[in-house]
Amino acid sequence: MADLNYLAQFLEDDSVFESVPDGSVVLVETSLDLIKHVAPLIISKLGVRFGFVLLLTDKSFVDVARDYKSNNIVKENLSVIDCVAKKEGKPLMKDTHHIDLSGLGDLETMFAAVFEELEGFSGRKFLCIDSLNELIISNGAVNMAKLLHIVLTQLRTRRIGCLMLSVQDSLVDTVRADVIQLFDKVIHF
Amino acid sequence: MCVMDQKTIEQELLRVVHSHEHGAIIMAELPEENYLDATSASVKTLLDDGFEGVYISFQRPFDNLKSIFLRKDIDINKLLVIDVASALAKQSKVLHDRCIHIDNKLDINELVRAIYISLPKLISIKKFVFIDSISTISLHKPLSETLRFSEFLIRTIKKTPLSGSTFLIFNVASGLSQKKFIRDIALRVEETIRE
Repeated sequence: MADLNYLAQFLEDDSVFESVPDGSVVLVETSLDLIKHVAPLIISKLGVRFGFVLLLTDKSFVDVARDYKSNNIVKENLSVIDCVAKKEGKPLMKDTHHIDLSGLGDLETMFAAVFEELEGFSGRKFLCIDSLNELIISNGAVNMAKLLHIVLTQLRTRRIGCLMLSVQDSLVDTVRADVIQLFDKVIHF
Repeated sequence: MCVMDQKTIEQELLRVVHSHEHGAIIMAELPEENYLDATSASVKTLLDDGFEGVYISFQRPFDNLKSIFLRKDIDINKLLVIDVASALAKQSKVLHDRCIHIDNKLDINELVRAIYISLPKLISIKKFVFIDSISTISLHKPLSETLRFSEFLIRTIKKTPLSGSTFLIFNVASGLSQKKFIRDIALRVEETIRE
């Protein structure tokens, strides 16, 4: 798991997430095989340092929780917005602060919930979205790129850091170019 | 698509601005993977060469840009920033003497007027207008409006009676350079910086 070690190191890098007053907006592109390990790793590394909102668009929280059980999660800092469990009929989590939405189609409600949850935390805050691909598939590339630009501007205005995950080689080149130029940093592993 | 590395883009930018005594319209195709670094490096290169500029920030709100430029040792006092991103996202407007806000409706005529009014406020005889991403405005405006913006701006810069040289720089992610509306704008520029 050398690649995951690299990401873990990156997430601990002070110059990326600590000394940047405005928060950084980072896109992580990884393989389909590795992506399931990434959300738990991010929660374990960043959840202890920030008021942390996790927007789940690909996997339900039950599935993610199974992967991060071995990590030290400070759940007091964690708020989960799960857009998958209801849609897929998965069990809803009880022991973590969470909101269950019924799908990915209502972006306005989704991001209103995200910002409401972020506002609920004091101190430094962070948003993680587990799959940019799912948002684009569900809402169309043009709609999503436009909304993404607005959301990133809102995050930057509020100095909230953000990390989004995307599966490598899964986006059409022009869609990818439209989207990734908006990020502060793109990392691959 | 393979794009020249950042050092080469900066060198190429300097070559172009030094070869046009009275200014020129330029399109810079930048690698989308490190777009922020590329645009910042271009601005720094121009400021270090004695330029002052009007920076049209479609991508980022002013405060975020200011913070990034501070870290990259870019002198914000040599820039006037038109904060379009905050207008597009309907965000609160930060008061700063280097920041110019526009109305949330984002009227193209108002935007070009803001650029036109800002240029004479720059002291240096070497000036630039820097569009951070022409494709980002197209996310929010119809392509016809995006093209009208670029056309209107090109005409305004060419007809503005300023002493010295004024360069208009359209930046675009290299992966989008073959989109039709980008190609249409590229037809109107005098120099394209790319591989």
